[in-house]
Amino acid sequence: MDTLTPHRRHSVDALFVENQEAGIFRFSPKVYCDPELFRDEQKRIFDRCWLYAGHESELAKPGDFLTRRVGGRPLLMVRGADNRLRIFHNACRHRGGAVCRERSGNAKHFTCFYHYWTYDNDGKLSGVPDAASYGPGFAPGEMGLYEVRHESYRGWIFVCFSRDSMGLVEYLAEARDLLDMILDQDEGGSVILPGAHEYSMRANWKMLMENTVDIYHLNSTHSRFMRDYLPHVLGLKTPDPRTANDGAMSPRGLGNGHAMIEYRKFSGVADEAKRKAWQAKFGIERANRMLDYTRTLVLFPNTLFIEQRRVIRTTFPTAPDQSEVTGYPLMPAIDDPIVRKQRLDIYLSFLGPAGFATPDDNEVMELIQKNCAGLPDDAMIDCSRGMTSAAPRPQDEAQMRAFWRQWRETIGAA
Amino acid sequence: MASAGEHAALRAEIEAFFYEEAELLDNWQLMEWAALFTEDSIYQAPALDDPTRDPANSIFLINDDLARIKSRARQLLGDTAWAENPRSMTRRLITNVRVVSIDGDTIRATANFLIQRSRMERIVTYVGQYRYKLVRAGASFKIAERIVILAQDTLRAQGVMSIIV
Repeated sequence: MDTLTPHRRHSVDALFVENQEAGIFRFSPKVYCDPELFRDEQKRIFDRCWLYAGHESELAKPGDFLTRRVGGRPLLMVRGADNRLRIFHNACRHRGGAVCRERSGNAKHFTCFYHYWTYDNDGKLSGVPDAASYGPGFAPGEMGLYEVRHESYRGWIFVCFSRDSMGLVEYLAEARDLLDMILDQDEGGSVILPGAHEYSMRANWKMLMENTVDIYHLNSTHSRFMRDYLPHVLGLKTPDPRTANDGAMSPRGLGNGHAMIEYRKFSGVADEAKRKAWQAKFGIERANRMLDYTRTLVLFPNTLFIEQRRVIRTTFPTAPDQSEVTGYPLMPAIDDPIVRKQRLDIYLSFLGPAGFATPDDNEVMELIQKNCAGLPDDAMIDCSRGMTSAAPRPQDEAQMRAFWRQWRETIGAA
Repeated sequence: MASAGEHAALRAEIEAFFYEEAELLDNWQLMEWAALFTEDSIYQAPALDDPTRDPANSIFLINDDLARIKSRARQLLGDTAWAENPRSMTRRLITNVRVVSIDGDTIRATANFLIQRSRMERIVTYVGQYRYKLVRAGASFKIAERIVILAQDTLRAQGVMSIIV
């Protein structure tokens, strides 16, 4: 039993130094490397929070299925013959073997090859060889695949491995409005394109949650992208870091650990007809914000959406110092082919295992990880930027502090 | 139709070309490597699960035109490609060279590769097949298409792919 004591709360709080007046927010590098905290995260975060698992566009027709590991658990996501989407543990009720070993496809039935137990695509057990050998207490009607709690929000499918956590909409808090603002732009709906990037980093998963909303590092870590790719391939001016974020919104927490940064689009001006139509539909202020700004969203604990690059990105830890990263391209379902190509270029030039930015992010996160366990016991990582500012900027760290406060609360809560 | 003897000679010629290309990459002579490409060339690595998809409607790992090929080479040679600074040590084994088709000056050829990359006490390998479209250029060839089909179902084991594969 995972009992919590005041001592435990104290020990989690002791990992942090927070002084609003002095503008100091620091935490111990143990949050990145301590094996006990890693086990706590599994139980208190990945077993309780809502986790992004997939998108309804990937399961459009009856029988469409995906297998995917979410929160360390192999899942089978399938649209049944009755058109209902269900998510199961990909485990036979007999001995626990996998009932599906394909990545994706369309199927009426799933069979575990160990003894050929077979399930319909609604999860019901439909075939047991030599069923007569079972006694009267064996009820095939009660032996369907174990179902996983899930909810969708505008096509984004989330799972939750706890029965008593709050519902998805409540969980999303203010992030829901930001998702609306992003997804309302895809007037014909959104679609995940195939080819998800599946790579990894030898670093703690939380570093990616910070790195993705870290604007401060763009000019240094991504110098090669800024100084070669932007000017010499795209013909764009390298942004001056002193003015690049002028006019940006303040980064902020959105409740429950979700956070965002929001800054002016680097390029591209919306056509006036679209602006007029959206102003009528969404209101002038909101329409202008949708058209002139771009957002990066942190959904606690482990999902990111980078609107500019159209990627849903998740990271799942397999060890304190090892994380899997997956990037799914989310595009408007109805798209001009030229614009679609631009979107894919924007995605691919920066992101992915062979992009012009991701490998450098991995490099710095892996270097941090190598240092963590060996630092002095009282060493601290600094996360204080913009803490005393009345109007923090995207290159500040308020968005990361929102994540960390929730992490501290979740790991330390009674 | 080329005779068997001509075919064998062409295969040997292409094999020698691939060896020279691999040597440039292993020696980090990346601008010389980029100079092997035609003006309308492509360097691609399709998604690992299905290499047959259209890059206009799916995401690839690499989808470079010549401007990006050159930028990639310049970036890696510069001092802020942190993932390759310090640089990886690599050696490429190129085998199974086959001429697939000959159409005038345009030749399609494939080869298998195994690249070992060693850097900062970590060794990873990339394995797969190259699919080339070469065009005859004097005594040698230019690369019009260089498509890298990785024989791996994910890059979880490798982390990233920061070198030119």
